[in-house]
Amino acid sequence: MLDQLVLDLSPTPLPGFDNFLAQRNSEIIAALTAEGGERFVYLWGEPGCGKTHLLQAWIAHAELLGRASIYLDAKHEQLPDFAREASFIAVDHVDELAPDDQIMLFSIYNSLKESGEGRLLMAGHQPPMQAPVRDDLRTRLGWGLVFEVKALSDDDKLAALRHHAAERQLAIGDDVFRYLLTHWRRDLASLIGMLDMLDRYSLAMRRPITVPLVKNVLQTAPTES
Amino acid sequence: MTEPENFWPACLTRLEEELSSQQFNTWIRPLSAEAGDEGVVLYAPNRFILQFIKDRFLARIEALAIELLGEVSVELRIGAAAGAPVAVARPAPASSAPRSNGTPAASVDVESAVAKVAANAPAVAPTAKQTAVKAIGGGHESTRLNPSFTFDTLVTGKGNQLARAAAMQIAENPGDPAYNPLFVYGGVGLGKTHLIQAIGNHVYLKNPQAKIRYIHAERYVADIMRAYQHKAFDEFKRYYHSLDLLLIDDIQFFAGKNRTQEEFFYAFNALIEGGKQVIMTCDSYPKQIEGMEERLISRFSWGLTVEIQPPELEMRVAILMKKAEADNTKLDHNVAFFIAQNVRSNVRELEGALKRVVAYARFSNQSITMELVKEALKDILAAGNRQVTIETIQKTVADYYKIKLSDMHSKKRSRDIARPRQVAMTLAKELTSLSLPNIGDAFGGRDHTTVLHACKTIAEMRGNDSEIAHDYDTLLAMLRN
Repeated sequence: MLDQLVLDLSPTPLPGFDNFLAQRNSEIIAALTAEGGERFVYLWGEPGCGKTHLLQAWIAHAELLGRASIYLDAKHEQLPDFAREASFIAVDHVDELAPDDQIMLFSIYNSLKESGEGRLLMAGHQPPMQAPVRDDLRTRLGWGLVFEVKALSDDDKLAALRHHAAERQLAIGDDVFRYLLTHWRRDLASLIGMLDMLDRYSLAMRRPITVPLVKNVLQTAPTES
Repeated sequence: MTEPENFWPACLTRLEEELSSQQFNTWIRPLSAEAGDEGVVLYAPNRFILQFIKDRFLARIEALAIELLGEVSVELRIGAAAGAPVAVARPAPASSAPRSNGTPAASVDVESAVAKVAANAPAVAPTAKQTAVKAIGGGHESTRLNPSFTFDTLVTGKGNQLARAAAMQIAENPGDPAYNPLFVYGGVGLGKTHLIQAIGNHVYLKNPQAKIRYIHAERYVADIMRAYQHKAFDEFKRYYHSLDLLLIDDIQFFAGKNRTQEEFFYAFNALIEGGKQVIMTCDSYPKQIEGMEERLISRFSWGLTVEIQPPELEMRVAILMKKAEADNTKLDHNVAFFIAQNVRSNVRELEGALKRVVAYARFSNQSITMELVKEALKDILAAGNRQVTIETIQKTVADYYKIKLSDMHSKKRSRDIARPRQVAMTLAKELTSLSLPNIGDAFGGRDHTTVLHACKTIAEMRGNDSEIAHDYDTLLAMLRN
């Protein structure tokens, strides 16, 4: 039998502060949205704890305020010199800045500091004093407000999965979520990705999303995403 | 087919339909356009918008141009179209952000106005030259000094009292050959910039006519490049050679930049010969800067070289109290003491910790107590406690010097083994909170006086043997990561 073809119509919700689960991280959001708050913020935490989400939500927030903003991912691109002209600058994965880019970020930091305007939000895996970057940049990471982004608890993840499923109008029982939490990678990005995959798979197979279906998918899915 | 002059309005209508009002007002509305037979020129008020348009919207605008005008080119420039109405950059009032955010709209206006002036001025070259050689005008602004960096706001302690005394001398008497140049070195985040800017501010206060310029070395390098590109090199030279006081920060950025070093060499000579004061900071002792010309290094030591050392506990407490006072924050002495005890590495981290405490107090609507501080700094403290173990240190050092790990514990005393062992002991003292007897034990049951001797020897050698100094700093950086 031919598989049912699935049109790619799935809506992707944009990262925003309101769809970030913030029970343990509400202080961060308060700091990021405060008017006249600290202009330099560094977030750190394990991969999958939601740093990139926060950075992008912050950029979306800046655009709502009508401010020129830019999101830069050190993992994938070089930092452009013109970035310093934006008033909200987000730099993701500072652990992976190439040596020249470290100088660029250093220089951007200094020009923002000197001008007294603009905001800089940076994120990395390590606490500032252990970040693998040049000394003068490392101390600057720790100069502003520093937050550890706490990974979600299992209950938080359950809530996130329920929320994500509801956004997509999927009726999925809690037993499925619990099964995923114990049998699949436990970071939220992988979990959400799996949920999306299940969504497509269930449409193609014309079967509801149940634990047996999930078992079926997990057996065929690559174990590392 | 649309007439060229109607192209942009038609294009705007289409884009307004396609994009969110947010995107449209932020990026598209600030543009102005000139459409002619030979093509369309779009003007962006600044480089940032230009780059963004290029990345995100140019392809769409080009498609619209082909649809509306036929096969034409679309070019992006900075500036404003000749006939563009003045209000073009202002977002439509209905859709603009709430009034409390009036500033962004205003700043866009100013920027586009500046861009218009620049575009309408007959000669564009002089403006470019002026940006290449900034701050020729007078007033405190032109010095690029931060007015809050003064001797009064500088906390003094053992680590910087000598440097401060020298700085005061120079501030009173700039150009005195005994102190010219002043070379201030020390680790990052210890207050070098504050100290030298305090000199600049003091000199300015005494003599507002003095031509003073503070610049970061990284900017100086960029300015030289820009001066070349705009063929404004003579102005650049004249400007720097005419200063009464040049303060240049983080000179280690010149390493490996030969052209910059050469230009700086001339500027340096001209200033010193003219009896003008030159002040530099660096993260290391002059002789240890790698990739710096010998003739510069020797000149750096002509005057006075002073070191700033990390602040001791009392000084860290004083820094916190002063900072809190400046921010109108009430901080108890014992609370400041607790923070200072736990955050040791540098002044920036110390200030960051205080900011976190203040932010947390505001967030949770509580006053700053010991409990609150412990809660606010929980993750910072936990990160700091993620200590390097003595085993890691021994392994890292052994790998680095390519000796066996067992040599760390052995009784061998040949230099090629004893020296790395001493380095490892010194690192253990610096990076762990183990007592000296404990460290001795970990190195094959040695006495604590042996550890003490190792620390003294290595400290001395770091002062006069650049190889050991380099090894030590490299290992320190490796272990901290």
